[in-house]
Amino acid sequence: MTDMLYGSRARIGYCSPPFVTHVFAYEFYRMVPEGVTLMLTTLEVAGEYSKEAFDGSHDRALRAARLMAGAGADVVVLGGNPINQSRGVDSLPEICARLGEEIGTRVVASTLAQREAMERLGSRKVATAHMSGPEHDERHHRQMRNMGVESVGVASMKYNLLDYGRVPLTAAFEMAARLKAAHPEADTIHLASAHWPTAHAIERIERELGVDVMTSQQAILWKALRTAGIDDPIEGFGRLLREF
Amino acid sequence: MDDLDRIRGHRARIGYTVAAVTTEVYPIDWYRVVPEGVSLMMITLPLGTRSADDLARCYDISIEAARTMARAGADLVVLGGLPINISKGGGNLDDLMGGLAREIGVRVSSSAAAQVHAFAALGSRKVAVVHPFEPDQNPRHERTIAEFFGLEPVGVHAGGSNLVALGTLAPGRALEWGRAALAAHPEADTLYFGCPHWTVVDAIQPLEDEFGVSVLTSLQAIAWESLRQTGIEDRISGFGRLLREF
Repeated sequence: MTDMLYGSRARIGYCSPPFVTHVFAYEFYRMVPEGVTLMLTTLEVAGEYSKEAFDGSHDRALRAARLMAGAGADVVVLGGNPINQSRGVDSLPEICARLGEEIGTRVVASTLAQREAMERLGSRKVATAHMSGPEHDERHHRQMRNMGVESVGVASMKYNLLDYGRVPLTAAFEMAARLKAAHPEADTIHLASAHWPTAHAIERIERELGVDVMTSQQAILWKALRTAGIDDPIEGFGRLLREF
Repeated sequence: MDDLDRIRGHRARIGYTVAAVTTEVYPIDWYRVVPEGVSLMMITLPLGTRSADDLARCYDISIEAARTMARAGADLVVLGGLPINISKGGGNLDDLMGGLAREIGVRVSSSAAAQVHAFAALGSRKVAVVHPFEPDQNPRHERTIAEFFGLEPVGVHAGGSNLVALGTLAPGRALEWGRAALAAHPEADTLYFGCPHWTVVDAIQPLEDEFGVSVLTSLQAIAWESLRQTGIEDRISGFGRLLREF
């Protein structure tokens, strides 16, 4: 029996966009070192990607961030690339800085974490796999361009956000392989959204396809850990967590 | 090594409405207790003051969440938060769960029902309570044991913490407070740890072994109910009689 609390090294607050959150916590604990915990608040994005849901989620995330800071979070992550980008990518550093100053805890945005992750990896040509339907392809192209890289291809499935927990474990590698075959110029595969199972596939994709991998969740964890001062190189989940 | 032909939660996917704005300890202890292949879907509820309005709002969101979880493939939905569950009157709970299950096509339980079933399985009669909050919550806990569960409350130990600080309680606190409660109330046949959002699971087995009582915790009862309701009969060691024997 220990006197050490679960989050003895760092407690990471995450404002989770899906109204119901399923896969994120499971994958989080596969990747982070012992002594790091997740404080989770679910937001309001259900099936529809609407301005109303994004605005409501952003407002709720700000409230949750204040509560998480009050409860002792070392870092708070404003999750959801679409929610983040709805405020404008260039506005995000100031939003994070201002909120962090107000609540007394460091604040990270998912979009900025992903952008910085790609900078560290040296990504230039990125191919994205996402789980929603092809009607979301253009949004993913735009999101990548907004993060300063060339979006060379997007592959989609047909899952609703709430069904991401039904995505089979085979999907991540199969889609990455399909993307790399269609876009051999890609130097990085981006597995978009932190709410379908990807952690198990990162290493295999990098090894077998000869690309870097940036997944939304991996980038969020990486940025949150490094912001909390945890610099452990983490094995098994790609170059990003191992080398940077 | 993952079996790539599976999804996360290939044995059972449990939807749970978390009666707190933020959850930290619950998913950690959940995944420590349940077997591989059982996953957790969560929604956090904006529970604040526990006023009537607050409870009613959380209740309504819980119902909407249950519908959403069913659409997302939950095998069972558990409505969390005993105060929210019984805010419409305990007598209505079975009707609520039955009606909701019929509507959404997925089995529905609640943390309250899980604990009723767990107390019954353990044969509990005289219950000592440990909760992590201030002593002003003691009467509420005594009332719940007597009036909702129909058992005899023999004493309550308050940890003196608060909702915001639950994640900062070290695992040793539950053991320390459990020992204090059982030393003060040796007539108890069951020690009950209220609230699943502080870490208690490591205290269950040591307290059962040391005092010869049953130990029931909110999270353990919810996990047990979730497993058994979804047909998972695995006997689980290390977290008390409930998960090992029933």
